[in-house]
Amino acid sequence: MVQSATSLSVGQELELAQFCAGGDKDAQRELFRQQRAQVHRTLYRIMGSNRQMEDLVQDTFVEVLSSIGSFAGKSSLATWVDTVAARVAYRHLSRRDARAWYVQAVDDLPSPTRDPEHQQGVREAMRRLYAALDRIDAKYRIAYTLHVVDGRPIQDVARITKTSTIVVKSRVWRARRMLDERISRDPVLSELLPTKADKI
Amino acid sequence: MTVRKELPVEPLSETAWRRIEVATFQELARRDNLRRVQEASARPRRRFVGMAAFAGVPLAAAAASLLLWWAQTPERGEPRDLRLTAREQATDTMVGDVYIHLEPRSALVVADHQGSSSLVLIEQGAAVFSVTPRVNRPAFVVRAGSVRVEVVGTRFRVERQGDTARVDTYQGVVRVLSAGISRSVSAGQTWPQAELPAQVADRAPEQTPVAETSDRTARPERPSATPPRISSRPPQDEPRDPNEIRRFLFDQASVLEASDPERALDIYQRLSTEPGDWAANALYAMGRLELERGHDANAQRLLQSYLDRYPQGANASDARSLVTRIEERSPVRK
Repeated sequence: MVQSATSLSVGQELELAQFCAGGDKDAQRELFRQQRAQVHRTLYRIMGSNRQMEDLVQDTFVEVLSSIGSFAGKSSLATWVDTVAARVAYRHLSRRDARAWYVQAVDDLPSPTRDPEHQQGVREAMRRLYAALDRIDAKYRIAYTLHVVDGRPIQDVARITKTSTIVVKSRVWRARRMLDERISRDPVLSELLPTKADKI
Repeated sequence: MTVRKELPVEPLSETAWRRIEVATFQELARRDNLRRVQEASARPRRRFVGMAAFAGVPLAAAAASLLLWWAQTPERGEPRDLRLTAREQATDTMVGDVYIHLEPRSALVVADHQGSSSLVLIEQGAAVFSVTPRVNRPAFVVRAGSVRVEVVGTRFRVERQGDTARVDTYQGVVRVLSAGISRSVSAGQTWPQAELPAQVADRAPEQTPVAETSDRTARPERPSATPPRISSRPPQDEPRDPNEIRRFLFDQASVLEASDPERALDIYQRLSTEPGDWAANALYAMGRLELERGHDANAQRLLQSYLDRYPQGANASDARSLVTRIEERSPVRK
């Protein structure tokens, strides 16, 4: 079961962070349990599967809990943790030698609106999309997956990747351009994703 | 257009989350310990330099004092065992570069924890170990009852169950030796695969009193509160079938290997001359034990004898590997 993050006020988040920074194990475990679903979602969207997910989540939380003292409450704790997750994913993608990567078969989840055949088509499209994403630079991939695949606003992606909105837009645009040709040649992909490279 | 509603995030199982949580806090503990060690090793040097500069004490005199202190420290050179216990809550400890997560109501002894420790005895309960790769170092060994687990770098859990144990490997591969048989247990696997024999499974875990964590200078206690009974007249709850008696003796010898290897060798020697399957196991165990004790020539002779007598034996492959290792190490002894 995936736990959802409990919403805390800024003051409560800062207090939790201070306890964690002071070495309070209970507070650290509390933070882990609060943020784990969000971290998983962010990493899953960037990577496209649960392959090596355990290592990535672990690396993220080790980094989060080692540097939690620097959390100043300027953004929400979830955004700050997402920043670390995106950095861990970037490092992983940048140093990955073998580009063999695929989307794991997703368990059939009940969907009130979509038929199984449609879901199968979506999964196949996502598999092809992430195969295409393997060929582009990690920073373009992260911007694209968080904005286009996960639907996060450009401003949020900019906060997570610690860049400006202009840079994020540029990265998404470039990623789209790189993917457009492949998408336009692939009927399964083009059904799922738009191909207008200039549309952001 | 976004596709997030089209493709749900595939959830991780609770087991996976548990693994991640344990691994995360293990890594944090490891880093914390490393930081403390670095701080501790840096502190005396700073103090020493400061004192020398301030007081003008000649460096040679300071060095001599240091040597004198080193020589006079009573514990220096003596094995110091560390006993770890957990009452109602689990405890996390770093011993050298080995991370130990001791589960509630558990107790273990780390033999000679200040030296090149590579032996842990589980007295009761269970523990998860994270062992960094031990390149060019002896294998890390965990003993629980008559079961021996050898690793060279991995993460695994050992639970003592009376005189036997359950082993779960999370990462890497461990080698489990029990009743003279060696088996590899890879990541995701559990040993033993099958249900325990009723006689062992039904036995209540030993209730060793749990004491506070403390250093001791004695060798590690035997896992059992009472010494193993090695007599020709088996008590009521012990097997009377000759093969079962041999197996019982073999297990007891296995337990004695760490604390009284000479006695263990005597029992193995006696078993190796008797009929039945345990003779082969005992002969192999003698060779393995002698090798562990550094008696290469004797180990080679015993292992070669095992191979001559049981070329298709259950441990033949391991015996050949050990002989090869001895030959590579000391080619003149061929």
